Amino acid sequence: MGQFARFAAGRLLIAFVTLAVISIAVFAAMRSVPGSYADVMLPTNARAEARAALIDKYGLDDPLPAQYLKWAGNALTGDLGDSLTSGDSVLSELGSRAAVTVELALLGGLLALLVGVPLGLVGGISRSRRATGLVRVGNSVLLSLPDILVGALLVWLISTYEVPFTVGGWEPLFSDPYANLQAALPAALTISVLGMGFVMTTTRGTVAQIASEPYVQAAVARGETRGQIVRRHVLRNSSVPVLTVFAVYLGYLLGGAVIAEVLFSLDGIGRYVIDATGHRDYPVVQGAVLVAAAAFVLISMLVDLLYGVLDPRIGARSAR
Amino acid sequence: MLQDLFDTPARVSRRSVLRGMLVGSAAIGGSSVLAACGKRDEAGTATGASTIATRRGGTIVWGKPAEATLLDPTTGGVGSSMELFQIVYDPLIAVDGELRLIPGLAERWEQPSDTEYLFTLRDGVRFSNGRALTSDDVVATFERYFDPRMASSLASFIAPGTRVARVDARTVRFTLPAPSSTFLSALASAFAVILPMAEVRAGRIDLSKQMLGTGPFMVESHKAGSSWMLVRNPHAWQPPIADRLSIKIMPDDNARIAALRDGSIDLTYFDVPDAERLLADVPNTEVKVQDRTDFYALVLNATGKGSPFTDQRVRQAISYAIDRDQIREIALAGTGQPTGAISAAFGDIAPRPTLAHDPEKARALLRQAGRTNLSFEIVYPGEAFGRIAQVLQQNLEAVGVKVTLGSLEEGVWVDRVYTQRPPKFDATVSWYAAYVGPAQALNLWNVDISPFAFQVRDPRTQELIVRAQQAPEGQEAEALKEASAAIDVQASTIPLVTKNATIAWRTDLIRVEIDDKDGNIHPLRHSPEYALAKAA
Repeated sequence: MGQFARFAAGRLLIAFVTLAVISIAVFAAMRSVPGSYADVMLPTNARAEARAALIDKYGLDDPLPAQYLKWAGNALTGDLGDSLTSGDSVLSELGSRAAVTVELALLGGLLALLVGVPLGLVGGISRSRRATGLVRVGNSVLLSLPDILVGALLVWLISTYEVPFTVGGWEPLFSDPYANLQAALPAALTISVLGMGFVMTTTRGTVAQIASEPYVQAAVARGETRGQIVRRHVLRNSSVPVLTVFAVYLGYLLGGAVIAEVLFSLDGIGRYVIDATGHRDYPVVQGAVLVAAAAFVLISMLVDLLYGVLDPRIGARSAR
Repeated sequence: MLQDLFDTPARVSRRSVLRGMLVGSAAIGGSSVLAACGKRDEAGTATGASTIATRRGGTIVWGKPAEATLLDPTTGGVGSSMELFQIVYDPLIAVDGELRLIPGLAERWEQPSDTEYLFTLRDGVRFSNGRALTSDDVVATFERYFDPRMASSLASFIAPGTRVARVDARTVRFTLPAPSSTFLSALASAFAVILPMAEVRAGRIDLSKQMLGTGPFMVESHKAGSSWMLVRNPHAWQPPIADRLSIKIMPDDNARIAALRDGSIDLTYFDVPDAERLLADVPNTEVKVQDRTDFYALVLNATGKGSPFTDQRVRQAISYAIDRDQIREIALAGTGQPTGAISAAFGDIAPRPTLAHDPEKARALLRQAGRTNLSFEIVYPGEAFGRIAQVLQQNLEAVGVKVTLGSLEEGVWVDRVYTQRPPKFDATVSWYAAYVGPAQALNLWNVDISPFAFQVRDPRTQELIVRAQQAPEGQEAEALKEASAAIDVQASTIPLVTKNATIAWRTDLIRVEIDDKDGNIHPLRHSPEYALAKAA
């Protein structure tokens, strides 16, 4: 087997084991939470017979290992089961909501990069105490600002001033891009704040370290311009750690930006899973977490491959 | 050094001046943009609903706080589902704004004896698929509701042994084993709607996933947790003025307020007591606080081993310590009415609580019971309940009782209070529906009907409850008074204050009619008459 094939096989095996462990953990956690599906769905004065009938209908009184194995076996074939609440296929429900979550994640990630990288660059390179101080304070604010506060502030802003943004008025991107962005941007801004902080911190630290490297000093001595040095040496060499942080953050966002989706009434995966958790809709929670974990694992694998492109030394080490 | 290429000495330079001007301009520009955008408050003034010119057709957009999770009326007796049942289906009997029973699918009914009712169906009523409604549908619907295997929500209000039979194509007879003062009001409930039983029995419709009724609207599409699109039922006997009803599921109160402001929804409602205040400055919006028969209650676990509440004196002391007026003013923003077991929303027929606020009596009873150092926990499932619990904590502290509070996630709360045997709680704040008949809520204290493990079993109270629920017309008031007084004395589930709803709508976008009172969780009772504004 070739080098790359062995590498890929190893990664896939790790991914499979990771997903299996996560699925077992989520299954066990959901079944451990007090209050069954029947408890939360039926009126409080529902008789025991009604509860029993509902539990029996969905096989929720079968032995737990049997329930898990049945679900896992179906999941391997791509069938994540049906929502207990709506009866619809979990996979199709997630699919119909994925566009919202993916768009929010990508927009939020983009905003995090657009703000975090330049400011981190300034903070890492500048010797001006005022500049670095401002960046440091800004960084701390971004890292400590709760996204629920940012979101609530934006909702208030939108509802008080005639600003061209909306709450809860999502339109698909390709059918009405303007209306789509009116709804998406405030939510994306809400979830990007923490990411801006992460990216800025990582960029600042990495850039500061790289700026004092001998090869950078050599570039300065050779008379390269500021822009050339930043592009050819600083950004390139700081990209790996920044990419790592960004990938982790993107994976987290793809799991569903719950706070933003609830605050802005957006129909994404995060809000769907939160509702399902409250309703004890086990197939939805299990399926959604599995899909989010798979997305995270996939992103990690892609980032590993990207490392080799960004930094040929990493690619060469892996190939040996 | 690299930094030397970026930094200049600390002196005024063209770069620093330009940078300063840029920052200053951005600050000025930002606030100017907001000022230029204008506050939505200045967009217009509130207008009365009656001043707008309306049109036929169009799409009403309703911001609904919670998804309808159970779609089968047989078992779906939860508020979020009941709202939808009453738009898609119809019951035999309807209710007006004063909770009086009026004809629904039945154009009239007679009571030949204390235990017999004859209903005559309206002529020409059809389901939304065009099939005519017949008495066979009615008989089959109630056979389904009465089937013990179905464990329907309606069954708890109908005496076992009640029979239903077809008399002719438009007439149905109900025969009860004993007189009932709750029978007619139970038939007016959301979970007594008439179902398309021919399709159900033929397997052509699964009621847990599909809805097919005689109501003004029918379901066109549904995205779980997100939205519904309902269209006019072409065969409705109460055809709506609007073409469509778009329902957006918006659980967040602030999001619904924002959507009301920007006009992306036409109407919505709120359960939070502060809603009227929060909506005060939303332009072009009218707000109505609707009296509901629902009520909050303090539930004491009176059967727990070692529980202080097994002693009736302690329970009564708790009851005497409660200041319902303070709960209403502080926790519920002045909404609702102090209530006993018969919801105060029913008006004069509802007796006031007999164990009214009296801290001295509370202390005396605690001394008699030897419980002068009493302490316990009140658990609760949400914000409004938490506020009530805080006021109760203060009321009880004033009589020397120490209360700790515990907020629980709803599913956990249901499990600990209603499911576990024995229940795992000391006391909780809950809420109950009293529906449209004064005697219906008495089921909560009827241990043969309500399966609550925390309920006290008292034969005398049970007898009075049954007597009130079987009282002939004209004798109901006295029987209700006796049952209510017995429940007060028992003091295990202590009614507190009625639970109102706040309905808000854009007066420049839609004309609506909202009843002063409701007992069926039916904010859109007059939806067929709602009309959208004409385009300017």
